[in-house]
Amino acid sequence: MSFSVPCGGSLLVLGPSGCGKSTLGLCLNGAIPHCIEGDLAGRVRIDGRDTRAGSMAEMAQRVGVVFQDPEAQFCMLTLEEEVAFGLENLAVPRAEMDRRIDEALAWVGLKDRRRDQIERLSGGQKQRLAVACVLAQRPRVLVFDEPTAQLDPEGVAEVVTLLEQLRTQARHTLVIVEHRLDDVMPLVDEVLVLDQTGEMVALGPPRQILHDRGEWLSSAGVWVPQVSELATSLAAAGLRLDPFPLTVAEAVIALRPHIEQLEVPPAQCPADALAARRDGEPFLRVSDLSFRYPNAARQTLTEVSVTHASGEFAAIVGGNGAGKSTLARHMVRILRPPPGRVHLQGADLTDLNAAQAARQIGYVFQYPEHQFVGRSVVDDVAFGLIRSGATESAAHQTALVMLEEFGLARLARAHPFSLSHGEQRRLSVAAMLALGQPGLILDEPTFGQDRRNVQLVLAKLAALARGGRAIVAITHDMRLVAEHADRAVAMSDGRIIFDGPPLDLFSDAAVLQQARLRPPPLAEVGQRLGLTRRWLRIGEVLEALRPAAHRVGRVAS
Amino acid sequence: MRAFVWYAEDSFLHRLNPLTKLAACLLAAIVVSTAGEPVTPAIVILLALASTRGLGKVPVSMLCRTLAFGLLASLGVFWTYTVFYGGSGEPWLYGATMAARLLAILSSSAMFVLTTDPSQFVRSLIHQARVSPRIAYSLFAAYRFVPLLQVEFETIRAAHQMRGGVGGGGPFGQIREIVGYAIPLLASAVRKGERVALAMESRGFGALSAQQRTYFRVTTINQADLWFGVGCLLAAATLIALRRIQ
Repeated sequence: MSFSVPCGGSLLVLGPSGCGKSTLGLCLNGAIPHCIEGDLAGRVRIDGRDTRAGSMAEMAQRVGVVFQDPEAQFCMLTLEEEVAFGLENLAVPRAEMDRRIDEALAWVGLKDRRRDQIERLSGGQKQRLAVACVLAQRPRVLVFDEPTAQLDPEGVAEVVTLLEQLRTQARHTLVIVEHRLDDVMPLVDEVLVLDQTGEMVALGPPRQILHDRGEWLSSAGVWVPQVSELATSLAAAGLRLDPFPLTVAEAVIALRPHIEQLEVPPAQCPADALAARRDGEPFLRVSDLSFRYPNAARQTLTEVSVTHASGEFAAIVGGNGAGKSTLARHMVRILRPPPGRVHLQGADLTDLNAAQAARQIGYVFQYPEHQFVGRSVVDDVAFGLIRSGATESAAHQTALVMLEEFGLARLARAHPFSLSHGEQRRLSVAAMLALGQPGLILDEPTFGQDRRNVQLVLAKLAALARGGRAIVAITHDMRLVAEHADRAVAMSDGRIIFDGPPLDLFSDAAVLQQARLRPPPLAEVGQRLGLTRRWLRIGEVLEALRPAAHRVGRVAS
Repeated sequence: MRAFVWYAEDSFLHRLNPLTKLAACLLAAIVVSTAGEPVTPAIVILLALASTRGLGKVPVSMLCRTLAFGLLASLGVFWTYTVFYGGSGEPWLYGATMAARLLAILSSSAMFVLTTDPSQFVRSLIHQARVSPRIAYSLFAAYRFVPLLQVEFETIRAAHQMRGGVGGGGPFGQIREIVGYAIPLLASAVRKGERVALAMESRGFGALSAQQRTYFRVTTINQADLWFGVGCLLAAATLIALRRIQ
């Protein structure tokens, strides 16, 4: 591939998982070929200088990289030592270090935490520190390798603000590799699209790329801004938005002329449907549960009461440290609740042993690798079945059927650790469900995955809920909540502050703020347009605008 | 849980060069392991604890917490030797000697660990012990992962329990269980290690030689280290001399 980025410009690199986006980033700073070996053909020139010619010390002063994992890019204990580490590497005189450390930390808003321990920082703060570390080395080019992929919504907002500042200042050339685009589109001049094989598919201004390639991107598994996705769907239905929106603000402008068609008549009131399902003993009942970790200063859970019904897809949402995972871990007996607090199908959880509880309810961890126990994909799924008494051949038979359902059949003999991130996620769900538990809890089921895989997993979960299982997802992903959940439970400071339909959650500004949540872009558009009923799914808007689209279509013909 | 529990404070001991304190620990170990009675180690214990409290400003509660496990272990040693000792002399005396030795070594180690900033220790390794920065910083980066891996281990154990336990019953089951945890733990440690290494190299680590490299903070051996060293040597000499007189 060949491309160039002008001084002070910014480039966004897009593509499905495994397309080589990150590898491209490492070529730009010379880590390839200096630190990682391989066949490199062609040249990368930064400011005219070939990356192969300069040493890594020289390259570090031209290109700084911020990596995706906030836990794995530091090597010192305190913030100032960490920034100093990079300066020491470049042999910056000691007299100058102090000033540079102050400058860099002040720039990212961490100056008063200078002597703090890095481990005390939140994910977003760690990423800001990573930016300070590279800024102190005074590079001309900054490469961001999925800087928000592992952050909660608050952390994402922190990093986006920082990117905005860098953009306004225009002192650096920015190269951003990202896969969630709702916030970064206004920050880039050009978009470079790679396909699955790492080939360059398109290069151009963002509006043009999303307009021309929107459908291709979505089908290739790349997330596009939700408002752009809406515009592409509307265009397919015959209604062209002008301008083609990339941001919430632009979508509001583009949709305003069609405002009279926008109100969606309330279909079936979801609250009634929920109430109907809640009659009788729920699948899972938590009553008045409080919990404090040993030596912790405050309670992680305070008088939490919640129920989950069979046939319902519920989402537990809230900021980091709100108590979501702690609550979920009490539901599956990883943390032992006191007697009488958690009931599974009417039975007290404390009366069940681990095996009995595991037959009732499964738990899918955030990182699939943590729970793989088999040497091959099919063994991993069969494991639980054999444990609960099935013969080996019967278990393998059932396992193969499961794998077929989850699109993993061709990988049956592979080692679980050799799968891609998305495949691992599907395997972890399949393996957990093989026993046919009536309940399933998932920790961040969409975390760090491309669009195609998220859709596969969520469609599967929705089908399971319709089939009568109780599904509970702990998530930061508000699009998941809006598009798939029947019910949202919002937590803040160990308490449940909201329990109801997602639509009501996204209309309640006070709850959103307290739970540190941001509604998905579509709901925000609805709010800014002053609609009385917010949108949750693109399909709803299409429905509402269909008459308008027809009219426009007739006029055009 | 932190692996090294360092107590942050600004005291005489905290300001000493970590290598001086390490040498003092070694000296203490030599003195107690050559002592054939429990009195010498007991004095070393007292000295170590008193200096950690007095010169290191470490609160007593912190000391107790750090040494609680060591105290239990030494009681165990005492009991075992008292009951099972078959050599010459009083069994309880032999037991007390062994227990006091163990506790003395643990107390002086606690003095080192509690009053030493780990990054300061790395610097002293580079500046005074002439360890290559490449090795010292790499070790330090690995050390930072210990608490992270502890959390990861807990998660993996919980995850495997949710799958119904890996090992099955019996002693072999236990072994299988541990092996089952080890693979995901190793995989994640290797991946994290690669990431950190790449991040460090991307910031120019190792590109310049140790001589060209500059240092934000440098540890030195100064007067306080000399005084402390002389004090420790005198104490050791006195203890050994007293032993001779007896």
